[in-house]
Amino acid sequence: MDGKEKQAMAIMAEGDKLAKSSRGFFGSLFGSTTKLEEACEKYVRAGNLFKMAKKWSGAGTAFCKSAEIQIQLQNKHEAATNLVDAAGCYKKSDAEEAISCFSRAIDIFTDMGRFTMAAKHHMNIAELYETDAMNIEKAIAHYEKAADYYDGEDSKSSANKCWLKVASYAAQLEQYTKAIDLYERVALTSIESPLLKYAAKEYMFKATLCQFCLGGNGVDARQALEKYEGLMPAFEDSRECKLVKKLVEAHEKNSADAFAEAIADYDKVTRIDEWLTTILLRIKKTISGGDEIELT
Amino acid sequence: MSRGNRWLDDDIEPVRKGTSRWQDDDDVEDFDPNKDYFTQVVQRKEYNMVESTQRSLRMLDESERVGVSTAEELVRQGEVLRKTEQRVDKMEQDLKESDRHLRSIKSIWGAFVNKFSKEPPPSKPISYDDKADENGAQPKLKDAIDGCDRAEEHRRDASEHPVLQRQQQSKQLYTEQEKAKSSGMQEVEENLGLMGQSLSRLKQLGLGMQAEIDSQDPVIERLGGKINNVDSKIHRTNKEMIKINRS
Repeated sequence: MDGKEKQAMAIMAEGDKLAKSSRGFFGSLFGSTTKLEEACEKYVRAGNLFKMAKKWSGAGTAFCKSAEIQIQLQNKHEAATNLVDAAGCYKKSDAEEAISCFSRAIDIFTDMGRFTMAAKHHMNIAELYETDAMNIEKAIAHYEKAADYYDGEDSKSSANKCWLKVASYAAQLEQYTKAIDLYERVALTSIESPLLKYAAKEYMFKATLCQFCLGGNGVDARQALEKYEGLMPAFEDSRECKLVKKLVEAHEKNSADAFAEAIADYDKVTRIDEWLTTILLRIKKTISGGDEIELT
Repeated sequence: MSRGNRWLDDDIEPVRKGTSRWQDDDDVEDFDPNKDYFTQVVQRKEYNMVESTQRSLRMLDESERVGVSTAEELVRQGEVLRKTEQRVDKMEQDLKESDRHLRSIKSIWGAFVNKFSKEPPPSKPISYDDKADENGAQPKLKDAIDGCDRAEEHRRDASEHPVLQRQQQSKQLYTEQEKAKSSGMQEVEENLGLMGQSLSRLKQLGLGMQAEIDSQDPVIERLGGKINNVDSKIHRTNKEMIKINRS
């Protein structure tokens, strides 16, 4: 392990030397590009050696240096791939650095018109951000950008995937109108595709729940349900739809018990995930709030 | 011989177990011929049935979920594949162009030839080809899925299908005959109905996936051929470049 690291350091130093010598007056006059290219190769090799030694930040810096030289040499594609490599290494040690590398790579990719690549890396950034609860907003922004790029490149299902992420986070941040909008959009595109229409009911279900949260009472949710049933008759049969109906009823009767019972019934068959739990809890809170108002 | 013996052993043991089981039951029956006992057994059985149907429902739901996400992924993959094919086509065109440039660099003759052969822009035929292929693949998928849709609609219409008619009849029978039946059995019935629904959905999902995979298969095959083609072309141009470099 140590040996590998030393070797990597040595190769890095060689690369530095090559890069420096090309920067001198004579170097720039004579054969600077080949020397810079050699330096790049050295850096990449050093990076790979660092990787073997599991020194992720070292590998990241090595790839970054190579990328900088590639930018000097106007090898955009190489630079971007190096940056992505660097980001991949930094991911394991320093998330911030990884994000900055990714965003530089994205700049290059968008310059070159490779929007799908840019979108993919936006998604990578978003994934890095989403692990931290403080940065959900940033994650949303990046997912949105990724979705826009995918949409522009006509990769609808990739875009939908991003929109769904945005929607679920937006709902968690109580930006319900946005979430509803996105869920509806994805559901509408899903209905058209014969394979995806089975997924549509879930998005509609989530959209109605968001509607429920937004309205604070069952009226909006009921209207939304009717609308979705009109769009997709199969939605009426689904357990999700029945659950929402029960929830609306329970809400109208202001009975938290019936509400909980309906959820427990649903939970028997389908496990309720974290997202659903938070949203359902929020709706339930409005019930108990109603009770209090009645009491006072 | 030893095998035979083993088989014999196997044969004997379950029989023994069976008899003992029966004997046990007989004993119990003799012991407690009360009606209560039977109702208890029935209740327990019912409970078990409800539980097991519940469990299978959950399993079905889970598989449905997995199926749906697989389908989503498949569709995405298909999109990416088709896009990749387009891109490889573009690469091929670019390579053709670079080939022409190379020819003009190589010799005056080449340049001369190029001037005369400049007219055919190769982009159109390829893109046509591609579109035709895609159109060829997609109707099949659509047909298959339309068939599924129709089947589903039939199912939803319910009244026409003989099996469903029979189901309804039996349902009516049930409701007439056994209105007083315990809630457990009703629950089982309900669960079975739900299970049937999700099974049919699963089947259609499977069919849809099959169609999608069928449509992706030729794309992959074509892609393989095209990539090989491009690869050999790149090698050829590389060689020619080396030649030019030397001369």
